[in-house]
Amino acid sequence: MTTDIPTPENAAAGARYARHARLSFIGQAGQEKIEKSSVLIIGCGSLGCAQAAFLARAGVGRLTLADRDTVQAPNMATQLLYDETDLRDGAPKADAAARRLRTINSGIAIEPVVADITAANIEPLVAAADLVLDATDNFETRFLINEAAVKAGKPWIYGGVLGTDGMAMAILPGRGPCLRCLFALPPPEGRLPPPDVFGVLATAAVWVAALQTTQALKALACGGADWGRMHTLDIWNGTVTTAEVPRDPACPCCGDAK
Amino acid sequence: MKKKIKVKYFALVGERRGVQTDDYETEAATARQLLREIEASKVIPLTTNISKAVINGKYVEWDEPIKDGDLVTLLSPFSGG
Repeated sequence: MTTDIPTPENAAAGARYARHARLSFIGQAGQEKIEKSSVLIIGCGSLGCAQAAFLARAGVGRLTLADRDTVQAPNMATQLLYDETDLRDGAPKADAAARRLRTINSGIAIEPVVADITAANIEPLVAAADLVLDATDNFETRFLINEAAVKAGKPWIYGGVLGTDGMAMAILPGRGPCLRCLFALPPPEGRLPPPDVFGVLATAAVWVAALQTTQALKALACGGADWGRMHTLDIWNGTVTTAEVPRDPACPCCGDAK
Repeated sequence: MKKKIKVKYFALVGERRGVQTDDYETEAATARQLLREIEASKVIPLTTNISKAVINGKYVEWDEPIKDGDLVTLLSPFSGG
């Protein structure tokens, strides 16, 4: 766990997190682990905004937010951290999200990274985090996250949303399947319709982000999550379908031959 | 003899949104054959290269056998964030 996290200056920190600390499966010990944790969120769109807000309020000690884009009009319906000032200024999402999060919790460290996440810069970001949350909008970056997480032995939580549906799965290298055990190769570009074509309901994104964040908190506070279980959500009909994903011994990323 | 199964789809099937579960009778021996059979009668944007089959709560290879009474879910990964 990261140790160079600033102590919350808020003298009421204990009270601030009491609702979580009183949960029997988190407890004060689990809350203290959360406060000493460092989480990397890759993407500051509809998933990333909700994840970051949940984790800042939960008191995660250090949040790193990575995104290359600026706030645009179509983001306003689904990306909960941005306001009209950010839109008017065309603010970088990572910077705007960090500003908003500091008004939510000034006692945690928040580091924006305004950059395209590539093979050239992902490894140190993953290495510095205890856990990675996927909030990207493409499978190329998800495969980079998977590769870096497997290499570093770090847990990460996949999430994707489209329309009123979404998916989430917690991945712990060595303990269960990685993303490439399920999807050996990224879908060819253009084969999966993006939300700007197909649409996305904000509540579906928040539901996926809530499930991802819950898995993250379980991993950070309790050391466990639903590794290798894919949850598929349909918020329009209020259903969740869960399926086991087997580990592939021949996986090109985490398989036995690696 | 045809097998009676249920087929569940997530999004992207025609103009549908959300989950759709259909009762279905099939002679398909495998998930791959089932997908081909369904494709012959309706437009579904699923391919064995990208999409996945889940049978009774477990992700399976496309050559996994289909049995009477199975619940088969067909879905593609969600990319949006």
